[in-house]
Amino acid sequence: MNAVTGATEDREGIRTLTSRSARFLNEGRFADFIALFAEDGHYILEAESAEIGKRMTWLDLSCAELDALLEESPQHVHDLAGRKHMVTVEEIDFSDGGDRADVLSGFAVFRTDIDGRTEVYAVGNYADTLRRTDDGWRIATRRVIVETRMFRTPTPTPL
Amino acid sequence: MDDRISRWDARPDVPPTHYVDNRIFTHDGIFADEQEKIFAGGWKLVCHESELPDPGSYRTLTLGGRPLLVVRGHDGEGGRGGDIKTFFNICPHRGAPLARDEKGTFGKRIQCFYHLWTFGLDGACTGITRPEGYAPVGLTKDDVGLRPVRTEVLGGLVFVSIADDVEPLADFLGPAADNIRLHFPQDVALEVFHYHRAEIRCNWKLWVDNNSEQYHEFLHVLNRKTGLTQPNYHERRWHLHPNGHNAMDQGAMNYGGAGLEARRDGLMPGMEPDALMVMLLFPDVMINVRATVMRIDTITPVSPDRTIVEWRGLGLKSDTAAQRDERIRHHNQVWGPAGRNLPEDIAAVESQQRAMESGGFPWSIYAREEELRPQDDSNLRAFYQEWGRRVGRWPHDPDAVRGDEPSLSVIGGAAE
Repeated sequence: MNAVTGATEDREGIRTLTSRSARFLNEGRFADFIALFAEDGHYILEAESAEIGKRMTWLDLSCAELDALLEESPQHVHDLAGRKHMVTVEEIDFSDGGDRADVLSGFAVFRTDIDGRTEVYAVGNYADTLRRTDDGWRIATRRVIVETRMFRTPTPTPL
Repeated sequence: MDDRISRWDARPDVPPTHYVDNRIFTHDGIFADEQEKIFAGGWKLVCHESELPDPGSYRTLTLGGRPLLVVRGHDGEGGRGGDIKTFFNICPHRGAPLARDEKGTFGKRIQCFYHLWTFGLDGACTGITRPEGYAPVGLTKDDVGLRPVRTEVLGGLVFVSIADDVEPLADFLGPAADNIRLHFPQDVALEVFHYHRAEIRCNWKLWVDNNSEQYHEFLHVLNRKTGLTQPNYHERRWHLHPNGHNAMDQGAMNYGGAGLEARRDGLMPGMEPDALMVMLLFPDVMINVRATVMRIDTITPVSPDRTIVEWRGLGLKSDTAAQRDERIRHHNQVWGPAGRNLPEDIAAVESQQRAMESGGFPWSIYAREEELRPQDDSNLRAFYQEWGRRVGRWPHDPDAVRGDEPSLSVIGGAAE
C-alpha cells in the first residue's frame, strides 16, 4: 500500500469514522463516541483568544476522563437545545507505514433551541491523529480547535 | 378571586428591600438609565495589566456605547512600559477607529488608518498629513488630540470611567480595596491565561445576581458534592461594603467529594488551601477564587435581555509550565466553557429572563435572612439598593418618584 496516499478503503474508513464521531455526538451516544477512540486516546479542546493573544486549552482529557465526564453529564442541568455537527474531511496524511493518519476536518455545529430556532453555535477544525488497530481505525488524539469566539450557552459535552 | 391568583399578583408580603419588581430586568427605559448612570457614569474594570505587557500594548473595548482604547505608554521605569492610559478609540479628524482589532502593539505612534494622522501614546497629535491644507483656517496638530478617559489601576486591575467627574477609584471602592490588595498584592504579578465570552439571553443583573448568590449552589452537582456538605459551610459571613461591593469569607471545599484533586499547592495570593472566595465590585466585577485559580467576570449589557459576559482566568506570572497546566485544569474543571457549572448557571438565568418577559411573573423574592451567612440574601439586597440609588429608582417600585431618598437598610431584623 502506498503510505502517502493510503488505500481507498482506509480513506473511506477514516471518513466514516469522522462522520460517525459527529453523528454520535448529535444523537447523544456518548459511549459510542468514546468507542471511536483508542484505549489511550485523548480529547483536547483548544481556542485562540484574539483578546489576550493566547492559545488556550479548555479541555485536555484522557478517554477515561472524558468517559467519566460524559457519564456524569445526565446529573447536570444542561442546555436543552439540540446540536448538529456538520463535518468535512479536508486532508488525510498517512505515515508509519500507513498505520497512522493525520486528518484535518472542518466542522460547524448548529444549535436548535427548544423553540425550534437554529443558529450556528461554533465552527472550527478537528485535527485528528488516527491509529490503525485490530478493530480498524481509532482516534489516538482529537484536537478540537474552535474558531468561534462569541458563544451562546456553553456545553460540557464535546464539540 | 382565587386566593392563589391574587397572591401571585400582589406585592410580596415582605419588607420592600426583600423583593424587586421584575420590570427592572425587562424595561427599555430602565436599561437606558442603567447604561448612562451606572456604566457610563461609574468605574468599569476593563482588563488586567498583564493584557498590556509591553510599551505600546493596547486593548479595545466598548463602554456605555463608546469605543475605547486602553494603551500602555513608553515612558515607564525599568523597561516595563509606562502608565496605562485610555482614550476614545476615535480619530478626532473624521471618526475612524485608531485600532481596529481587539489587541495589539503600537510602535512609538498611533496612526489612524484613514488619513494617516498620528498621535503619541499620551494622546497628543504628532502629525497631520499635508498640514498646509489647514493653514488657511489656522488648524494645527496642537488643536487636536485624542479624547482622554479617566483610568486608574489597582492591584493590576485597570478601571476606566467615561464620566469626567467620577469620584476617585479609592473612594468608590472604599473598604473593598483592601480585598483587592489582599488578592492582588503589589509584589506578586498575576497573569491572564484564559479568556472567553458569551452572549447570554438575560438581563445583566441576573448574571451578577446568580454569581453573587450562594443559595443557588444547590443547582450545581459539583457544589453539592464539594461545598454544601462542608461542616463550616454556613459559618462564613458576607461583608457588605459601601457602594454595593461585597465579599464573603473564605471556606474550604472538599474537591475529593467530586472526584477532583485537592487544591493545596500553588495557592493564589491571600487564599487558604481548598478555599473558595467570592467578591463583587459593583456593578459587574465578580471575582471568584478557588484556591489555585482566579476567575474574573465582567459584563457588557447589550439590551434588557442580552448580556455579553467576559470570563478571565488568572494565575501567577511566575508559574512554571507544570503549575500553569494545573491552574488551567483547575479553572476548566468548574468554570471553563466546557466546565461543569457555567452551563447550569446560564440555563438558570436564561429561563428566569423568559419568565420575566412573559409578563406573568411580577416579583422576585430576596427575603432570606441568615445573619449574613452564605445563603442570606443581604448581599443581593445591597446590590439592588445600590442599583436603585444610582438609577434613581426603587427596585421594588421602579415607577415611584425617588428623589434623593437614601437607600433602605438591607440587613434583616435578626441581624440588626
